[in-house]
Amino acid sequence: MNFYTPLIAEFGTVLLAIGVAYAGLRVYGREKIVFFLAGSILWTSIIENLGVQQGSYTYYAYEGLLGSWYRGYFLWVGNVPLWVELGWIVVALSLFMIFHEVLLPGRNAFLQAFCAGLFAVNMDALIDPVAVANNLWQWLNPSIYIIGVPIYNWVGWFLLVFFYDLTFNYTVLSNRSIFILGKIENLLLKNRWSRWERVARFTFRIVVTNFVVAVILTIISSGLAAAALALVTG
Amino acid sequence: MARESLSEEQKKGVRVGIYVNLLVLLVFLVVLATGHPIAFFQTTAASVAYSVVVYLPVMILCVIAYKRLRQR
Repeated sequence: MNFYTPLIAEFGTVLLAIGVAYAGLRVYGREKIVFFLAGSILWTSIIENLGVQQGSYTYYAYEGLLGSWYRGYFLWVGNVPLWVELGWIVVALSLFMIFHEVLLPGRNAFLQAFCAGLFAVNMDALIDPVAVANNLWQWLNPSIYIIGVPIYNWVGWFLLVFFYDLTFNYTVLSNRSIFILGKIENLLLKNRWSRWERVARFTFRIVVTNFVVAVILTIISSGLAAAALALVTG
Repeated sequence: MARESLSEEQKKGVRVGIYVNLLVLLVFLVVLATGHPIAFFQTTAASVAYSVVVYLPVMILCVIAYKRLRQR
C-alpha cells in the first residue's frame, strides 16, 4: 500500500466538496445550502456508522501508515472518514441541481428524485470499484458481488439519494408534508414553518427515512448473504 | 419546486456543479493511475477504460445539462 492513495482520495474529495458547496451556495443561498450540507452529514453519518457497526465494511485499511496516530484518514465522523460523507454530498448535490434546476425543473418530485438516484448509482459504478481496488474501503459481508462491490450497495446508493432528494425538496425548498410524518410533526409543530420548525422537521424526517432505508438494506443484504452462502455450499 | 428562470448567479452555480460532477471522474482516475487496478480488469489500462465507459452516461448528462443551461 502506498501512502498517497488515501491522501489523493481524501483531499481530492474535499476540494470537490468545496466546489459543489460553492455551487449550491450560488443556486440556493446560504440558509438552504447549510440545510443540505448539515442534513447530508447527519444522513450519511447515521447510515454509514451503522454499516461499520454491523460489520458490512471498514475504512481502516490505511491505519498506522503515517504513524500510530493515523487512523487511515485525517478527519472522521465516528468510524467513517469525513471525506466519504463529503463525497456523498458531491454526488447528491450536483445531481440535485442538474435535475431540479436544469433538466427536470418543476416536474414531479418523485421523477426528479428517481433520476438523481439512478445517476448516483451510475457515479458509484465508477467510485466503488476503484475505491475497493485501492483499499479506500473494504467490504466485509458475504454477498453477491459485481466488480468487487456487493449488489446491496447499489440499491443503497439509489435509496439514499432518492429519499434525501425528496426530503430536502419537501422540507427545505417547499413546505410540504410527507405522508404520516406530517401528522406526527404537526402534533408538536402545529403546521408552523419557521426556520427552527423546519430544522426540527428536517431532522425528524432524516432520522425516520434513514431508519426505513437501513431496515430495507439490512433485509436485502441478509437475503443476498444467504443467497451467496447457498451458492458456495451448493 | 417550479423554477421559471435562473439568475446569472444561479446559472454560474449550476455550471460549477456540472464541472464538479465531471471532476469526480478525474479524481478517481488519478487514484487508479497511482494505485491499483480494479481486480476484475487486471490492468490499469483496462480499469481506466472501464471507468471512462461506465461514466459515459454521467458525462452525457452533464453535456446535455450544460447545453440546456445555456439556452435558459
